[in-house]
Amino acid sequence: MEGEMLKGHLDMIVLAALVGGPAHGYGIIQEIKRRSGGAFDLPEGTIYPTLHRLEKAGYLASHWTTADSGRKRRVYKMTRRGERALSDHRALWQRFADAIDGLFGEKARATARTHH
Amino acid sequence: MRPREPITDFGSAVARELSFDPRLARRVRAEVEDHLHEAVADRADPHGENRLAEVMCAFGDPQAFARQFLATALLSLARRAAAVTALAVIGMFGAMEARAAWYGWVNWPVSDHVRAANAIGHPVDRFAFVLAAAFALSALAYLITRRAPAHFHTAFGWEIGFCVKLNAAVALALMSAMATELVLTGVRLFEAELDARVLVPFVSLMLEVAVAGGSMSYILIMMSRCSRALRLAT
Repeated sequence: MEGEMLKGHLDMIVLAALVGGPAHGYGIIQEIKRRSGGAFDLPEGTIYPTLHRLEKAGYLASHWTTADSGRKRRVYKMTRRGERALSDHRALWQRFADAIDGLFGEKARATARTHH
Repeated sequence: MRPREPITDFGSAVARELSFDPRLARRVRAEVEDHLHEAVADRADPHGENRLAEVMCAFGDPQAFARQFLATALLSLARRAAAVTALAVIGMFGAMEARAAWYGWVNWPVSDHVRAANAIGHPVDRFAFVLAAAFALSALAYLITRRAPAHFHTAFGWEIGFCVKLNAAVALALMSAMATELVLTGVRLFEAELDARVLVPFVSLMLEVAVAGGSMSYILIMMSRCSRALRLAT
């Protein structure tokens, strides 16, 4: 997937990855990779500035825990505000996807008519 | 042997780049080190050094990584500065009002000297205070409603720099108001008999001095931190 395309939607991709429950940075990257079937293989450093920005905006909350390894670990979870933002974005994305489908579908039908 | 040192070095490099905000630097360092350790442990490659090199490469350069925090960190520093100056304005207003109310309550005698000093000092004091309150409110309102962009850009740096300078102007205006109050209250206290009545004006004045001085020092620290942060952008 094109990096620039991903960057524009990174906030919502991160929020979507947290729908299943709280997770730490590395876990969020793995979740994004898994749920996108490997299509969204983000540069690993990009996730943390995004997490911090989303937390400052009130979409995420975080706290320290201790991992099994004994290391300090920051765990993020979505807030109500984050859930609302994700839901709004999902609706917007659906309208956009439907419109694109309509355009591409129309073109595909026109191409098929020309070939016949 | 567990390859720890390059990860610690990377964490230190990131913390150094973010040293303009020690709290952020500590937090990001801990997160990055935890991430890198976990990523190394997760790689299937049996050769430790290759795994480590791969993980470090995937994370990128520490300076470039730290730069991505710049917009959020600058906004956060400016918000803290604005919150402190707004609290200073409220604190000084409270101290001034408490003193004025006390003068009325104890029927503090007003001599000709005090009246003459008030005629000059009060308009200066009021102007400085109203200016401070207006600047502090403007900066705070702007910074609360402003969201950090995903990537730092020069215009955003300029906006934040302007807000921090506005807060410095607030602190300067508060210092002027405090200096005027120092003279006006000083004249009153100089003429008063030393009894329990002078405690309230004296304590409230000391409070004002502490608040104005404290906010000025805080703003100077924040200005220095912001300029260090902006060096990361270049």
